[in-house]
Amino acid sequence: MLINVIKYEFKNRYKTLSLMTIIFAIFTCLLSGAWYVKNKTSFCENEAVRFFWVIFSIGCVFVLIASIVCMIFQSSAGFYKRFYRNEGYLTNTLPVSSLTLHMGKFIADLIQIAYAYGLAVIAIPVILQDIKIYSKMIDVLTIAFGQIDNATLNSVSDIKGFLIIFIVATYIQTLLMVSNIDLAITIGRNFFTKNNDLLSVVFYFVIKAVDAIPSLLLAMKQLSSDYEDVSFGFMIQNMIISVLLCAAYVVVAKILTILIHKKRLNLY
Amino acid sequence: MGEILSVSNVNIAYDKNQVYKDLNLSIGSGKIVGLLGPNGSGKTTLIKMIAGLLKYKKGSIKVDGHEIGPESKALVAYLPDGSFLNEKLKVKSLIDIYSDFFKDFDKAKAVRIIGDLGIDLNSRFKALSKGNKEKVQLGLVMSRHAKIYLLDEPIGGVDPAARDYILSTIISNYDKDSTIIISTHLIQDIENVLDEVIFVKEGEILLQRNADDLRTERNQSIDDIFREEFRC
Repeated sequence: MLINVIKYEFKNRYKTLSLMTIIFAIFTCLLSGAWYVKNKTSFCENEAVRFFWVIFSIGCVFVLIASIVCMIFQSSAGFYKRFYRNEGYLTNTLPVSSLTLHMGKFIADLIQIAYAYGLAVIAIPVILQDIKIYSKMIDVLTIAFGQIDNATLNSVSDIKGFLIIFIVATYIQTLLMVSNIDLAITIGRNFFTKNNDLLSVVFYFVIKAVDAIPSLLLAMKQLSSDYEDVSFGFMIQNMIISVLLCAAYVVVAKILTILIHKKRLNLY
Repeated sequence: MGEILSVSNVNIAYDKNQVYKDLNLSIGSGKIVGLLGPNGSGKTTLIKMIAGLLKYKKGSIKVDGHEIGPESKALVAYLPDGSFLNEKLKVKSLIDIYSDFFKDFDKAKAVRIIGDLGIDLNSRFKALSKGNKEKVQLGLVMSRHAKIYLLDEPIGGVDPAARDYILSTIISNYDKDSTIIISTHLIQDIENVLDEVIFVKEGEILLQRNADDLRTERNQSIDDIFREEFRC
């Protein structure tokens, strides 16, 4: 039955996934074609054109990130619709347990988010072929994620390691966001008969506040450290702890969602 | 005929409003049962509890000996009052979903019922008219060989011709050993097909009787009895 639930999930998601793939394919092809033209001509030597080129490349990255964000919200909107709106009358009367229903949804989320990030990993380096833009972005990332001694980030393996952990951390964070939204919807819809959508939003922020506490403590620890002591390894270690914490939160959020759905389902 | 549905001491409340208090009910198999009552009497709540969509606080509901859960849901075919299918999917995909999840689903029967309506299986559900949507939903539900069919207001909000079609589809497609529970307040249209009637008022079972016995005893139609019992 789990396979059928996953199939059912993807029947509802394939359009979004197809649309996202098309957007990525169009942008990647356009940009790689444009890079080819640029490299073959001296047209882009002009400063104004070059400025436009940088802005355009960054804009493309934002479009792709926006399409991933839209996909995440579509996943949560789909959950709301399939479990607690009209389609809930079918979903909740299927002869499967709450565990199977939610596991099916969770596995579909894992695959969908991994697919989206996979597309991003392929597309973004193509868009940012200009190594100057790429290295600028790495600089921005290093400034954003800690007071790292730039000298420690010079080796290629460090950058690769950092990027891998960064992608894994973002993936788990995305999964946590989806799981938290699902939990908030489940609480709002099953515990209340009035204003339940508004209460779902309120509960989302409550859950978010609870799971932000350990991350804040980690950040405070990092900030309170002596600047000289903050090494690249220290930051990576904190990121790994953060990833593990997020993974634990995903598990807790899923267990709570399943239990509430099983014990308190109220499709008024 | 044995008991197919038993409801024992069930309590349910919305917020602080008690809907059912110590509800007890037993329904045998092979019957068409009319669940009759005015709006807000608790018909839909009872049907939703049996379908597994509402958790009750206390008591027990058993379908063919199974507490409400995946086992009971495999035996119950539920038609809600309103649209419940994904509007974006094609009709054939909806048939596939039923076929994947319900072992008792007769795919050929569904294709025949929906095909008889002249509906293209490749058309999207949202492209169908309101009447055809309701007929597709009914076709899917009645293509199951379920033990209990729960039909919540199946003829509410449709024209008289569509009512006839819906009733004939129900009568000609259900298994004779199964039980149909129809909730409605349009009693005149369905009273001829009912074997048993249950009157519900403000969360209480006012009466549960064989339809013919009740008519003979009161020398009135079920519709007249209903109007008398629920006069405002």
